[in-house]
Amino acid sequence: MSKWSRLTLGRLLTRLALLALATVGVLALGVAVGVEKVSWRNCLNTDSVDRAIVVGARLSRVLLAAVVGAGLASSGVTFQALLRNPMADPYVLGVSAGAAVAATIAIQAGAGWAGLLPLWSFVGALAAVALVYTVGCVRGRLVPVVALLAGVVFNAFAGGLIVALAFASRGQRTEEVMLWLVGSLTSPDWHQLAMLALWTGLGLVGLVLLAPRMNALALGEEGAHSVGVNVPATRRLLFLAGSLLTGAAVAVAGPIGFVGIVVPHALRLAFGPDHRLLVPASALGGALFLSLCDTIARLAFVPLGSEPAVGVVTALIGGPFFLVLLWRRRGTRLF
Amino acid sequence: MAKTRYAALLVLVALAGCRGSRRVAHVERDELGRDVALSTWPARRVVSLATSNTEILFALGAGATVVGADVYANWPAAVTNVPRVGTQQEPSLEAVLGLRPDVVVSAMSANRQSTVEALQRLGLPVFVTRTDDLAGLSRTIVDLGTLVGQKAAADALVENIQSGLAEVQAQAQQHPRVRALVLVWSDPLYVVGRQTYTADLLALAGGDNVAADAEPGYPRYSLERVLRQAPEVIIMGTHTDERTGDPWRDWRRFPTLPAVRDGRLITVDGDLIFRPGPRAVEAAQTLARALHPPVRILP
Repeated sequence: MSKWSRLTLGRLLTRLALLALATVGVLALGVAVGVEKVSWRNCLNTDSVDRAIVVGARLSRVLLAAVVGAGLASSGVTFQALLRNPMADPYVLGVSAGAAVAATIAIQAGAGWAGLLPLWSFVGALAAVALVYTVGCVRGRLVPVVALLAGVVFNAFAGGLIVALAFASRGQRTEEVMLWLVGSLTSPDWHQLAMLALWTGLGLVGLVLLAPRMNALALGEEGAHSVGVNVPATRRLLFLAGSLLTGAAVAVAGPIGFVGIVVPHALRLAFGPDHRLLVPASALGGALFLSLCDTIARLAFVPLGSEPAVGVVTALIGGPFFLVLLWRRRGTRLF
Repeated sequence: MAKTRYAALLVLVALAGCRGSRRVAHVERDELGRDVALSTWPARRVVSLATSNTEILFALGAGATVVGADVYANWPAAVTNVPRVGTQQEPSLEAVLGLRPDVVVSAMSANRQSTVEALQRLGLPVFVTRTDDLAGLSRTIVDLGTLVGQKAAADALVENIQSGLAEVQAQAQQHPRVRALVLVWSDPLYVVGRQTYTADLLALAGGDNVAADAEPGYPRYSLERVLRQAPEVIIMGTHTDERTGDPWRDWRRFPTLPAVRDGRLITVDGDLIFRPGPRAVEAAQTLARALHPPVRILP
């Protein structure tokens, strides 16, 4: 047993409180900095340009990044627990791509109404998960490596399918779909943000409740069964929650890579593998990480004269950071 | 030994003769600075890989020479019957070859360099045009006119466009200049930056592009910079199949923007204002009307 096994309520709360504090700090920083200089006094005036910049352009986008990041990171934890494989995340597994396929179809069928798009993505994500899970079950038992491989292949397939759909509909729409596929964050309207927060919140509450059972799953199928956990039912619930979280995030931001894999692993290295802490911590860490990356993407407009997609920043920052982390913790049990 | 050497020499001479037998009828320098050699001139079979060049060829009365075009080509109506060779980004090389063109015309802004290189390796002469400003449009019209033997028509079209644009400019100068932003996509926010054909037209029509500070071309712009720059007019170039619904919905959240406050959010035909082609005057008029709404600039 590792040194992390003694997770007391006090420890859980202090760690979460510290992480929450850091997250709030990063969100505040995101609102404080930007391309334009603002007068904070003017912000009190509802009709001022400064307020439009700070509230309409920055705050809404920082919050969007936070919610999307929370959703992606916590769904990463979910899929890693389900497949008992540290490589699993919604992007690699093709769950994001499944959501993207459904969203693309919905947009082209004219059903892409802002409030319902997350629902379509959810259905797509769920279908992708069902496929990966079904293929991954060999003689009634889930073989994580097979499921992972199925996910990787489905991801590539879905990528091609989306492009084919775009081509089939009409030429110029291709470019629009391509833009969306890179994954990018913009300043949403409050209604859109509220809908996303609702779906994400729902998924997160479910995950927090399931966290003790996720710990049991780590013991393997027999192990989990022996401590009284209904494995198939738990898996189904986790699939639902993970798909909901991924679908909601993808509907708004497109598939953004790296968040679902870097954040849970960094936190697992810092806090240990207990899901009661890992799940809420990943939500907070994802919010922190993606809003930080998006703030950098926004600010990069100043030197570059054009804003890079946030997925570029998550990869450029997350990749090296993660590699260094792994290098320094060589030999520690990761999962 | 000497005999083999002699034979080898003969083969070489024969090969050289073969190459030489492909007669060069015309050589024209393209925008990459390369001398493009045509064995048939004026070209009777042209494959046009960019929509803007296709429009120019049709306007020159050389529509009949266009034996292949990209899938986006939709103007004039007569282009409907032209066989398609694929998208601007990924045309089918086989389809192009199969049409046995005398010359392939490619635009630097629309096609990829790898396509041009691949077609050349296949032995086709590829003429590359560049139209990132109005001067480039005039050059392109004359170049294409020369390729298809319609130099006189090309000179006349250039003349026509220049005088038409001068007229729009003269009319626009009677109005104060207007701070404007032209959107390529609204979400994510891509705009017309400097060193583009559309930016030239906008300036001529009396607009000051607020995005002139960003990257040349079509940068992804910063929303808060837009809010600060306070454009008086925002123009959106729609694409052939825009989503239904209010395309300005996202913008109406920002009533501090003069363009939103004054209801000057104007949707125009994107094909018209983004494609550097024979409809330049119509495009400039459209922009001028968007910028100076109360007075009709031209009938």
